[in-house]
Amino acid sequence: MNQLIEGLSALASIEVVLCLLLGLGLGLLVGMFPGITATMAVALASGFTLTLDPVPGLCVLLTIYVAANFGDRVPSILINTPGTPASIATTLDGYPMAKQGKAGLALTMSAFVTAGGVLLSMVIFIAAAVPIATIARDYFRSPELFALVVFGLTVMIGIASNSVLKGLIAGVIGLLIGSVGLYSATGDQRFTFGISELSGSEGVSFLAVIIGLFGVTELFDQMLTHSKSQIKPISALGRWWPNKAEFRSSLKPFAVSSGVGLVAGLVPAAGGDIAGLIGWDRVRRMSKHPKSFGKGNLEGVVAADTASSATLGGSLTTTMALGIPGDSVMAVMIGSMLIWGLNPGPQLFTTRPDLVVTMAAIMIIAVVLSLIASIVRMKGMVKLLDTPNHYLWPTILLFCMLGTYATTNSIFTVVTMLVFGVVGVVLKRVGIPAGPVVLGLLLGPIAEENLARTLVLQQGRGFFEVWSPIALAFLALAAISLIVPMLRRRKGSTLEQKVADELAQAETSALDSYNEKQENTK
Amino acid sequence: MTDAAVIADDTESPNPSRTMEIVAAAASLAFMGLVLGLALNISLRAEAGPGQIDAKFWPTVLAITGIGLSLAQLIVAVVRPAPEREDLDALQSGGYRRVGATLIATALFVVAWNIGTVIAFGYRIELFPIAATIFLAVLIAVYGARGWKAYVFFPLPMALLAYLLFSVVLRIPL
Repeated sequence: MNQLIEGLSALASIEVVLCLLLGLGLGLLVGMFPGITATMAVALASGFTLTLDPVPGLCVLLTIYVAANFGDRVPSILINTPGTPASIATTLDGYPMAKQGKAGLALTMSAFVTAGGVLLSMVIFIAAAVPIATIARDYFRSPELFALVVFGLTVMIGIASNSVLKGLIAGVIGLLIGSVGLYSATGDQRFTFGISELSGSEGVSFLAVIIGLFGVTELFDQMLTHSKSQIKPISALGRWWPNKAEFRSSLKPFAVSSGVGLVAGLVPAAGGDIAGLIGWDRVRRMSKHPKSFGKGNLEGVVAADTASSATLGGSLTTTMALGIPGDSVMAVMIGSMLIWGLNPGPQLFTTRPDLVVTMAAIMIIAVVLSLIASIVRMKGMVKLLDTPNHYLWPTILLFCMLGTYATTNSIFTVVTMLVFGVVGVVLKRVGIPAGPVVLGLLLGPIAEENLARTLVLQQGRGFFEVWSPIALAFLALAAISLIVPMLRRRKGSTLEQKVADELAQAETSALDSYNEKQENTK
Repeated sequence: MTDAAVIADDTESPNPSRTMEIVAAAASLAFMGLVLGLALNISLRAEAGPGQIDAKFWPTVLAITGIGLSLAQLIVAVVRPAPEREDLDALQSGGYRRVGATLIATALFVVAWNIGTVIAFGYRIELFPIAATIFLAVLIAVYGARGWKAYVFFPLPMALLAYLLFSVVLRIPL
């Protein structure tokens, strides 16, 4: 009871309310602008939330995380371009609905199921976070923690990379960047080249790397690939409020997809984009009218948005309870929390159980605010899609630089961020993903520390005395998480490919039947 | 067709490139080799005890792993067809010009920002708001803004907003 009161009372201040509103505004905005991901926004916001206390800071970051999940549906539905990767599956039925003059209906239903998905996922967080953290604290020693880190890294590599080899190279690059600086066990300097800014225990600034890789890289890539012709937003939005039959028909897809999202959220590094596609595919297979999916079926929008938003609670759980980021936004969040002195992992919730209540309350308030803003201000938000890039790009670049500078008050950090921005573009263009680099940087020191302890424990002992079944199970899972994507790719059956192929087939058959009808009419 | 004024999106994926794959793998191999050299030359203040690992161990293991992976990637790049790049958009004309101009403008802005303040005409002038205004004006020109309104209503207000937010509200010494 005390924890509940303590957790909620931490939110009773004007500062918190202002931070929630700031996060809400930023989250909805970044969600709406294609190319600006929630990861980029949270990375940017990390720069100026460092001066805040942890709770107001968490309010900004978590509200951005939630609100971006609402905002990103708008461009998916209106211009067929996902606002963030999490809304890729929304485009499949959302845009066809908009073309049929049902954009308002798709937007409203999307907001409702997104709210439902996140709220449902919070039940997982509230129920599971402390027990998982307690189990991890009681049973996880150095070998288990090392194996867990390896597992987290390999899952990210398996999911985020088109090529497992390139993903592994990205992971090694991240781990190497993480080894720069002071080796705390012996006080030796590694790869610092006499530069004082690199000589601390942090080495290369984590926030500079993530703002560079997720913010500036995306920006430069947009500059490289931007073309003038683009799809204009649909302006006739049609009716907004779903009728009873539409609500009823959405219940089953909501139930199925929320199950998919909740499970996917608990898998480290599996984000809303993957869950959305799986959820959409599952519901389509179970539907009596699978061929109507991809052509403007409301159930398709419900399935995609429920699954992707239901990952949030699970993702938060693995991040906070185990210290393994549930997705790339959470990787950034860990960086900020470390600076506030909060160390995500088994110890966090066992020493600060009130934080579970605080975080859950922030997420729930953020969902309610985002839902209200989505329904009330949707028409106004639609106009923002017209914002020209020549205003958007300089603003993002300036705030990336200032946000990075704010973390250390040093120009060196800004230069580091810009260098990683350029390196990130090169890596992206050659197909090396940024996710494993960041995760390697974040988890590298933890992996090294726990490996060092494990090797000391191993002295004079048998292998199975040190490496417990839990550790071995995680290592086996790590191997599986690399092998399975390789086998799938060899068969050429990634989910995205499958969905794209089936949509192409559906379009071709629709076109054929249309041509047939035309010929018959003649 | 509804009222949606849909203009075809002509962004395509870049073509697969074996040359790029080979160059990338070779660059990765060279980088990992360089890291291995640096890792082996890390100067240690004391030798590690039995069972302990020293400061060289982890980066050396990683660099050797990286060399192995880069070699494998190089072999894959040589013997197998180049992979599709469907998740990327193709480069557009003017893309390199935009990024190049951005980098030059950013470098000059960082230099001006790093100077901090100058004394001129007997006054101490902070360079950040001035440099930020010019920086933003240059960038919007590079990105294609036309007309006087863009130059009057965007760079100065945005630079002042950034200055007020970070320097005045958050008390970060810009």
